[in-house]
Amino acid sequence: MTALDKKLLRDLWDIRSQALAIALVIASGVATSVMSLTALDSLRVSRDTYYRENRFPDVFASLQRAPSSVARRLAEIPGVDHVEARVVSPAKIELSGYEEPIIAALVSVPVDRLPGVDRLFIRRGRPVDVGRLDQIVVSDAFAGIHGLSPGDRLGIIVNGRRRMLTISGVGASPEHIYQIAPGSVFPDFEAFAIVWMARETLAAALDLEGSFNDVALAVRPGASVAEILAQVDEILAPYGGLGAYDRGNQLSHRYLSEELRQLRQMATMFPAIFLAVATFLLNVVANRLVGTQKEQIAVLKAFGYSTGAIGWHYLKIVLAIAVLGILAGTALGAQLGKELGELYMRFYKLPYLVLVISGPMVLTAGGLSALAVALGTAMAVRRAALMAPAEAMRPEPPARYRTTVLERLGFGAWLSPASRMIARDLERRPAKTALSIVGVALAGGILMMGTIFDDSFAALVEIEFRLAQRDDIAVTFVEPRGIEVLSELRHLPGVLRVEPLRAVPVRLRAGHRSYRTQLEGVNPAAELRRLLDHRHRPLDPPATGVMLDDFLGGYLGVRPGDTITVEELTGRRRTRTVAVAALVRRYLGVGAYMEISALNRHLGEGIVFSGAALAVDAREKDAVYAALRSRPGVAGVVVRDAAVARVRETMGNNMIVFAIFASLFAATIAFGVVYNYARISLAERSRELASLRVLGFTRREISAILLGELGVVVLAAIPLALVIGRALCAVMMVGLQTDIVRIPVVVDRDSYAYATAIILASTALSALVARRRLHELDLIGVLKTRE
Amino acid sequence: MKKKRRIARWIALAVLAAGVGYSFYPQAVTIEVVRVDRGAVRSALEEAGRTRVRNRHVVTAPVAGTAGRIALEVGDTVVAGQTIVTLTPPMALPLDARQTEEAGARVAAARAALAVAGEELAASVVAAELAAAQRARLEALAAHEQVAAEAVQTAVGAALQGAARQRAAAFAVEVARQEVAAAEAAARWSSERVRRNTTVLEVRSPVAGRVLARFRQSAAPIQAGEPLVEIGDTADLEVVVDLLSADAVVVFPGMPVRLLRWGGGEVLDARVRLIEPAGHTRLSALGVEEQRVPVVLDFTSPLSQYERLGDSFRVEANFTLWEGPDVLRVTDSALFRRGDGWAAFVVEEGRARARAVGVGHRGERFVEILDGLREGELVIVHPDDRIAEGARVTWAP
Repeated sequence: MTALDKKLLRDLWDIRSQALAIALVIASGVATSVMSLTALDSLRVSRDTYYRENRFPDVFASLQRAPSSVARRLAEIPGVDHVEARVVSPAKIELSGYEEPIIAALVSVPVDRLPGVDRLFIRRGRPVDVGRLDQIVVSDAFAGIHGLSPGDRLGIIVNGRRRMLTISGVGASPEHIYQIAPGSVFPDFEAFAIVWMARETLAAALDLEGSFNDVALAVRPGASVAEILAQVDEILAPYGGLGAYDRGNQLSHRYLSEELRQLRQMATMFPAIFLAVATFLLNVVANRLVGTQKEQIAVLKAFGYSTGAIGWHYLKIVLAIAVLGILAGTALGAQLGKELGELYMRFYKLPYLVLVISGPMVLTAGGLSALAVALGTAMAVRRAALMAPAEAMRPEPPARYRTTVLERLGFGAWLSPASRMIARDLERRPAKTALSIVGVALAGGILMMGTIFDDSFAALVEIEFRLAQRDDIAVTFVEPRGIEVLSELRHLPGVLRVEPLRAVPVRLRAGHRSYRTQLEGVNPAAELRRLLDHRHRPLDPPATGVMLDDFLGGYLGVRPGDTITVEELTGRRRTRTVAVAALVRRYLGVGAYMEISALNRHLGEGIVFSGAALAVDAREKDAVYAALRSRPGVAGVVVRDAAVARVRETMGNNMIVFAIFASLFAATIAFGVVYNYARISLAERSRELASLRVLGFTRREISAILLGELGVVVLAAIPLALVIGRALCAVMMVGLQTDIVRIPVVVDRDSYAYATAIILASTALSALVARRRLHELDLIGVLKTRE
Repeated sequence: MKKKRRIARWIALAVLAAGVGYSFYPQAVTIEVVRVDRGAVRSALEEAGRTRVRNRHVVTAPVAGTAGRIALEVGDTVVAGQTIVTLTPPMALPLDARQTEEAGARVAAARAALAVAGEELAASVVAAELAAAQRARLEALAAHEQVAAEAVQTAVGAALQGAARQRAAAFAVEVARQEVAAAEAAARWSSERVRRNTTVLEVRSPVAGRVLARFRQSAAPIQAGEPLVEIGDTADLEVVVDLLSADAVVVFPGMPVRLLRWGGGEVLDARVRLIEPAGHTRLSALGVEEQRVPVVLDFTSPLSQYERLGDSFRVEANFTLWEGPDVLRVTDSALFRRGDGWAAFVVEEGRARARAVGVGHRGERFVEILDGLREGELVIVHPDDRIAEGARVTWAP
């Protein structure tokens, strides 16, 4: 063991608390990175495995009805591997003891064979038995919430008739990972179920024996999906085909992909920002830390060690700390990643989780931190080693001796000698001061990134569900109906107000860009469903023209005054050009809107509505639910309050878990930075402070000087931290915008307070610890002169 | 000096703590407000209905015959007594060659039968004369008592019978003669296809009005009772609305009704005249059975306002169940349920205070307030679960 190695070990022990703090900072950055990416990669691989094992289809199409022979023609399309023709239908569920409306999507399964595509994953029980055609398989999320098990019976109302069916099993399918009821934007597992039934039973209930109204295809690898889509459209067009689509447009896959994309954004942005901040801070800290070792470096040089050997020695110290941090961070990150992955698995209702820890990512994260620290060290060593040893061993003279700005301005009388020392020291090396302030500000800024989700999400819910949508119940009809339906709804006891809704699926085109969405009708002077402009004020729809979500407007590249092409996907299937009248602001989903009677005229089908928004007397809501359930013309009922509450629970929890971890790590980083600052300042000025002690200053007074400087830097950093934090949040949210949800950047007052409080608390804690070290100043050593 | 510094330090610390504390203090909730005011509240019931001509006359064919072409078009004005259509008697059945021959043969047969009857008449004349002569002879002998009385009676009987048979034979000849005439008539019509100018019947309109419907146009044979045209006076309209039976109970004759969305700009006025005593079953728009009762309304607006309305035109009838022109009212979206009653959040000094509200009639947008709120107070619209009693609130001006 060389002398330098012994020195290494002793030095490490000396600076153990600072080393620990630095290691913690590195560990936090690495852990965040590893955690998010582990969770993300695991989710992705799990999803892909699930798709593969359960044969997630590649092409989907809905149609009015076609005889089963048409399915054979679809199978003959070149490139198609399997065709599964199915019968699907919306339905209502009657569950004893549960009054709120439950809607279901019924999907047929063949009972005599395994389906070629979209196989069920049975969690409990068994698939539908060949001999028992009154059995069903229910989605496991729904069954879990309502405590249903195989053997229970469920009332299903389909096509106006009610029948009691027995649950044979509880399961899931890759086509319905994300389960969203028609008319909703968020999954609601309590009020929406997927039910798989024997094909014969469902076809009989819908008078579709020998026919099908939905089809899923598996495509051979390498085949052109676009070609197949076109051919499927051609074959199904005479049967009322609504347009075939591939995986990218399949509801569940699309939502899940968007979620994973958002997760990926968060998983890369958060750690990237953390790592960047951590790296920067580590650089500064390493620089200053090695800077305090100036005298020792000079001694070593005087003894004859080369600059390189000295540099390597210090590098080893710092790298040891870094490696410790990286290992700890990786282990912690992997464990947290596994748990986060399992949380997401439960949330997204994936049947299993395949844990994947991405080696390259870990190395990158760790490598960056190590590199930063190494650079800082190298720079400091080089600076120290370049000085002549004798000069280096002398304590540094003050850089410039002059009065501070404050004193010149006349505030000199206000400052005690201690304060004057602080002020002069700060002003003497403005770069160092500025760097310190920025460092603490960055650490404080990332604290705010954790809390923003709570505030922003609450704002989103408030804007969407308090300002834009204020109905109690949204009803969709099986088929569009005329004005009499509004009168019928208004007459239901307990219904206070009815506003009609009309929505048709369309494809919008502007130039070479197109987007498939719903064109919705909007009532002028509406109370329940309103459009908001970018300032969240209600917007009255103009008499003609279409309004677009500003996100969609940006995507299509159109502004008010431009024209777009609207292609109807149902009904008369006409294509017309319309002028864009205005842009509206929505945070959930994207859509196009038109004044409702203008829409009816545009579609040329008379005055018909596809649904209605109702305001309901709270006392009568059970009666209203029952009345709606008994009407065969009603396809779906969505209760807003319940849905919002569940959205808050599920989506909110999802993001907040991530945010909590982020906050913890940010707090760790903040503490680590402040603590290091305090300790390094102490180390840098130990001679001066010891001298002051010798001169007669009390411990309290010198601690005031040291901590006072710390306090000034922190106080100056706090406002900057809040500004930086806000900016970081905005940057992150911009990256998280998707066409499904856009989170507004809202920072409540308490977020600022939270960040401030954490910084202050870290400061206080660091101050206490640093103060204790002041007692151990080497007073005697100061009195000796250096040779 | 030191003390001042220490005080300054404590003040700075206090300010900082206060700043942080203030930031943690919950922010005011943003809401929308509306003022309680006085104004009109109208409780209404709206249902779609259609116009109906009050007196409809369906003109039918009085007898079977051949109807001529109806020249009238739907929408034409007719006066009372105007000819709608001309009826002619039905054409006789035309005969083909076989039937013509048969008819001829029947004529010959009838003539032969006539000849038979004539000969029979001659035979009966002879028989009658013989019987009469016998009678005369025996009666002469009876005067001298040279024959039995029975023989005389027999002869008298025979003579009378003979005379009767002669008269019968004469009638039979008449019958045969008429049968010849009938056979000849049938044979004559078979050989001539001549339309004889016989009497025509003019079917006339009973009233003045306009043609609302025309059931046939071209000339064709017609049965008795078949409808020809429907005539009514479109200036004499009523409105019939099928109300749910529960609503029909609430409505009373004389209730004012407003008619909207009939195509013209203005709102028309009408009054309930009659609520029919019997309801009928109808399937609703959403597929359940309902009981509906027809309610008849009379227009009260002047004809000039609605003269463009015709028969069976759609109108939307808005029945005024209750109207209060100047009552204390508030928007209905400000009220929420509390127990069995209603409550509202009133803004007092920037804070939300829940207050029980007594509610009267409920209109389309406004609700009558009986107690609990005063005019001019601000209440929160669409209150949600963010608002608790005493919460601080703020709103956009």
